[in-house]
Amino acid sequence: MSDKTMPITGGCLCGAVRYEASERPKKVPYCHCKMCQRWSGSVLASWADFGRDGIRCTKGEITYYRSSDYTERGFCAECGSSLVQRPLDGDWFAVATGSLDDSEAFLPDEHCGIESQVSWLNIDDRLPRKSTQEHMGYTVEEGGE
Amino acid sequence: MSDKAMPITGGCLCGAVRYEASGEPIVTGHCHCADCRRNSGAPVVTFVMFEAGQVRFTKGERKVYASSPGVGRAFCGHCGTPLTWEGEYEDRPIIEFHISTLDDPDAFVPDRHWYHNRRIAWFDVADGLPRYHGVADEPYRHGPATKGPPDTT
Repeated sequence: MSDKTMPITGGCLCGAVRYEASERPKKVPYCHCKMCQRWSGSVLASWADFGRDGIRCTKGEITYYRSSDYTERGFCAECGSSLVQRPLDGDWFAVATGSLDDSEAFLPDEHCGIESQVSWLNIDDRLPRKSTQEHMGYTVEEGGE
Repeated sequence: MSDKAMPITGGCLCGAVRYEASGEPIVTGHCHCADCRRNSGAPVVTFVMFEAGQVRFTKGERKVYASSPGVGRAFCGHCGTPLTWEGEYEDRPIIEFHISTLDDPDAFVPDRHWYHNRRIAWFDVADGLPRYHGVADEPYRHGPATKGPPDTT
């Protein structure tokens, strides 16, 4: 894949929230965990992981929901688009790849949360598969605040 | 399989919005369109479609974004979970639930891919299901168009 011209931009469906990244993503994992499934409205989520300061909101405001003891998830309060996830105490910042203006730009490099993968879903690639525990170092239950 | 007499239930991640649907869904299918991908952040979404009259919201208040003429996308204003696509299908008012918001999403198996012509170029699902341009009457192919993304290593 060709290198992308910086900055990498994205935002929500209605246009109220816009962001940009000043670096390339460090990882691009699919996630099948139950929380990502429910919160994305899809049977698998897809993330581009940046460093903690790698994402800057350039328009509007991201609304956050603390979804677990470990992370909070950010969305647009006008249109409900699922945008970002970041740890409460950590060094990464993930954007949902579907919110990128060029959602095809970054090829996923692994699957995580496979303990919850939907039984009929088969993605035919040779990427590594990991559980939430293997990928994140912890397990989570649904239901935040 | 689930007891067909019991309503089908679901809701958002935080539990503030809950819904139930009675009877059988009209259809369950994937959507690859750009609006669904932008709204969900995911490479594809999967909907379980009901007639609007089959659906009842039992707790909380969903927020609805009018994403295009005649179309609303509902979500939870507290946690941001996308819940529905609401509009018309074959001249009937319908409500489609994002399958992962159902309490038992494994009970419904998709049988088609809508807007497959608008998908992420390197993404597809390894199944033999019919694929459609938009919501056309006839599929243009069966089975995946793409066998996984190119090797990135």
